[in-house]
Amino acid sequence: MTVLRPATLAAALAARSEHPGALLVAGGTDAMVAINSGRLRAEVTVDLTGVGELASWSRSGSTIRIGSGLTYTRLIAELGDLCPGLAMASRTVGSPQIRNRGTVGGNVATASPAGDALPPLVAAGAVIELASTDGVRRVPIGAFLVGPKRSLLAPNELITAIELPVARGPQQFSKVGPRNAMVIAVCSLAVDVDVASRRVAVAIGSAGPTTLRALEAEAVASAAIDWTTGALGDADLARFAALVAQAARPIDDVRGTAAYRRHALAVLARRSLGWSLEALRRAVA
Amino acid sequence: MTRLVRSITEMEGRFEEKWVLVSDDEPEAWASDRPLAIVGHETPRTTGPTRVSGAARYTTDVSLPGMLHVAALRSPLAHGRVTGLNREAALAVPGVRAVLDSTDTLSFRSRSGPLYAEPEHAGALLAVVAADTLVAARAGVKALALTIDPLPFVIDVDEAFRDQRIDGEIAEESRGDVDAALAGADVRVELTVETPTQLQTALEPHGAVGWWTEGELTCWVSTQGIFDARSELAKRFSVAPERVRVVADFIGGGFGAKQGAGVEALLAVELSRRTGRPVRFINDRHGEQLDAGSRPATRQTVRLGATGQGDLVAIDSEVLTSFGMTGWRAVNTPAMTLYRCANARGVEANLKLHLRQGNAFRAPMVLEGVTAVEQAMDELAITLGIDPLDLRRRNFVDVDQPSGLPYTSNQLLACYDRVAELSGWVGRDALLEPSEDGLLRGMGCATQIWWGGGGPPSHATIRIGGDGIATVVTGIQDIGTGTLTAAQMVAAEELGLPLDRVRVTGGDTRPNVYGPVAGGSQTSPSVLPAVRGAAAEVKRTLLQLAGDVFEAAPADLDLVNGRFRSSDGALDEPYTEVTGKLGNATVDGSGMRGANPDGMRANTFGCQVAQVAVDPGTGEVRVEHVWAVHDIGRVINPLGARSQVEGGILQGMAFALSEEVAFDPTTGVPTNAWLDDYKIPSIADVPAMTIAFVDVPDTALNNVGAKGLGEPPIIPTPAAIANAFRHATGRRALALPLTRARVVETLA
Ligand SMILES: Cc1cc2nc3c(=O)[nH]c(=O)nc-3n(C[C@H](O)[C@H](O)[C@H](O)COP(=O)(O)OP(=O)(O)OC[C@H]3O[C@@H](n4cnc5c(N)ncnc54)[C@H](O)[C@@H]3O)c2cc1C
Repeated sequence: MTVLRPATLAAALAARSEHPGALLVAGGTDAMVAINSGRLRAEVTVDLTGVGELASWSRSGSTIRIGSGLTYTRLIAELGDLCPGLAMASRTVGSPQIRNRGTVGGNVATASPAGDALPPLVAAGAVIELASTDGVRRVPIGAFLVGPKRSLLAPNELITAIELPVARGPQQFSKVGPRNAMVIAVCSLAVDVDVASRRVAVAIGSAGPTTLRALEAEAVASAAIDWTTGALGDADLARFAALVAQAARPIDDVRGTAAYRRHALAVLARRSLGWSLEALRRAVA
Repeated sequence: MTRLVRSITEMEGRFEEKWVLVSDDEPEAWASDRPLAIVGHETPRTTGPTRVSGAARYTTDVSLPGMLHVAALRSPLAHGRVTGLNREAALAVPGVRAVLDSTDTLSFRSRSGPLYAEPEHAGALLAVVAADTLVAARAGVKALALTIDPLPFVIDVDEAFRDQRIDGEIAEESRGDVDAALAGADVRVELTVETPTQLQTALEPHGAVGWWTEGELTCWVSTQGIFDARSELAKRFSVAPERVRVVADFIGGGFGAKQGAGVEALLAVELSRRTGRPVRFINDRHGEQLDAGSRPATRQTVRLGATGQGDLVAIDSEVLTSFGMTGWRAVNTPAMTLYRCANARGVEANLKLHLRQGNAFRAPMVLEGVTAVEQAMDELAITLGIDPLDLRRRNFVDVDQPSGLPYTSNQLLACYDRVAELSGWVGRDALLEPSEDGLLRGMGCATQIWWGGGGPPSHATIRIGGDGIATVVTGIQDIGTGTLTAAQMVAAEELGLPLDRVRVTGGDTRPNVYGPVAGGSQTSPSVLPAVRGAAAEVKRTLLQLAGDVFEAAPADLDLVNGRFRSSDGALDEPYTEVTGKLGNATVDGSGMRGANPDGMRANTFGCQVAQVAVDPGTGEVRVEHVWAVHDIGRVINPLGARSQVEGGILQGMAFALSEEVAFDPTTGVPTNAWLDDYKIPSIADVPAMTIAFVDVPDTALNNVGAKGLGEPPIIPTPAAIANAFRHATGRRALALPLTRARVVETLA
């Protein structure tokens, strides 16, 4: 087995194009598990941790550009105000050790329906930046994630960054697991309230083949909220929650039943939007 | 003078009469009011730094030149017949040295297995491959290219009961006339509850390194009983016990599942015998979770009858246990012993299922029984409108009812009072007020009963030499409980030496100083009195020698905190003034655990209160606080005792909230035999814990006054949590654990 340790993005892209089947490793918290369990074998491994360009973030205007190699620990410490939803989700990932190693890019590339970074990115309308020696392309995350552990990543490409808008209002993330830490989500939910354009976005994790938007629920809430005060009637909130549950496409598995997932998603939806609007009301008051 | 006497011994409630060696020179029990310098004071465990720095060498760390590694092939089916194993292909894998399967004639005797052609549970061993490296061994297993035909299996309790798949006889014990008493009771409650299959999940999996050399056998085993392992190996391989050495320096937990040598040691030794190389067989995590045992699931129906004032008149308990193909029966012990009741009956059956056979797991069977009986008591208190703690006080009993014998000590009433005071029990209904966070809160309690008196045989020797260091040799193994630190404390106390002048060893059969298996909460009350006996003998000799050196009457001298002192205070000299003159000579002492008192039963008692917060939306149950008060006689090391209780509470909490083996009903195979989907608690789940002891020495039991603490703290926790859930929500979940989905269903 060969391990390549490129120090620059250019070298990483070159390595990727030279060895299209190579295994990329960022934090290794998904990759090493797959290797140890025998699910994954690779002749060539490309270690991305030496590529400084990937491990940083920047802001330009109202857009945040997160390098794919940014760890959860840094994201939590540095982006809590700009991307509160993503930071909340990051706090629920694994344990401190996992958050020290694990990266947002790795989570996106793994494309697990249970990936915790995905619902806030989907709700915020993030764009995935993909690069290869042929050039750069940008794909909306909704299109990038095509199925369970399947994405549009081409064999010669790297995820270089994830772009998302600076929060345009309150954001929430909640997750249900069988205990309080180190859990793969039984179901999860992100709410993103865009006050300027008067839109609510909601994304569901771990209750479908991939991260799902609940478009009907979004439309109902966006229309029903009184945007000058942040008020929303109980009946509308309940309707929103029911529509979120309906949008889910859960299955029965070891971690939970479909029925429980739908129930819990309705509860999370009601609470998350409720808390978001409460924050909005405090802000306008 | 030593003598042989007949005495009753007990282990996890099984009583046996045996010849035991006792000493006339055994010290009298420390008086309850005697101030002690070391015992009873918080002492960090001696091996703490070694453990946390990674320097401790566990069985899994043993590495010997030329050592072979074993990989196991396990049954992928709950029941099947092996139709093909390509041994030649496995042996052809580079590095593979040996393959064993059910067709081999092994040199040790075994009632069944340990390698099966017709496995009766998923994970059963079919074959083992020994190779130069683990990677090669695994490649060998793959090359075996197992083919196996499925056979019909039964893992469903209802199906098994319908088909009367019952292991042996249905056990029934009773006293009085239960049916009449139930019929005549003012108040009756009936409750059926289920408890889950829980896995011991020790951090260090089962494993051994076996090395057979010219009829001498050395075996490193992750075991709770080095001497049991030694006799098992000696017997099975027909070698004299003195030619077998078992070593277990550090053990990464056992929780009951690591009795004796275990199949890993037997196969490692067999392979070593065949290959002439040391052989290491350590379970991988999946193998461990599939095939190292479990606390079997139960379904229990408890009927209670009482007078309107709350006096129990009838207890009736029926138990079905999903043990595997065979097991033992003790779930009804709490029903028969916990409360005063003239009419009691326990009926208990083990179902024959295609599951890994259950084995001992911290308070085996009694935890399960308490979980049902104590929930029924809670229902009775609610029906009667009596405070649940008062109901328990009212039905307190101070004799062991099945035998009619009194207890050596019983401070249960004091436990109730103290736990009520610490937890603010009387004000618990204030928790029912709606709270801002929308969570439903409540408090519940449960009583604990367990044996834990220990007994003979258990031995210790102490040797002190010219360097002034006293070395205590025991035959026990510290499975993580801190027993060796307790032994060090007792020796230092009795000798009158500072703690750091005393060293303790264990975990090796070679000195041939016998210690019991670490099970049944018997280690401390068995070995500590022996250590004290040995220390008393050494001290007698040292005082004699001090008399020679200082020209004083030995009876007028004492050794206190490392100094010889005369009663008038005129003489005050460091003890090294005496030991320094020993040169290469040593002063030796030996001690043994005396017989248990005749006509008495030794039990531990306690009560725990739990406070939970229930999220009615998601079904999350958070245990916010557990208050635990136990009667374990004299507390030797309060620090060690408290951490023992913390561990028990966490393991009991997990049984109540998240641990449960899930099975695929279509294949009978566990679906969560890993650590990612089998949920033991994480640090974020740890509740606040307030732990106290009714620290009254049991002077009738042994010379240090201590009872055991291994199992007690896990016993009441699940029922206390289930009762707190009932208090918080007004509902009772009919099965544990209280998973999110089950809670939502229960509250619907
Ligand atoms: C104990 C434990 C707990 C965990 N808990 C959680 C949890 O709570 N929530 C959660 O969502 N996840 C969890 N995970 C999974 C994992 O930590 C996350 O998915 C993490 O974000 C992966 O990031 P990484 O940098 O470690 O990825 P890696 O393991 O390095 O890579 C993951 C995958 O992404 C590919 N990849 C990495 N970087 C790039 C790139 N720049 N371009 C293209 N492909 C790339 C790799 O080839 C690989 O296929 C847990 C894992 C463990 C071991």
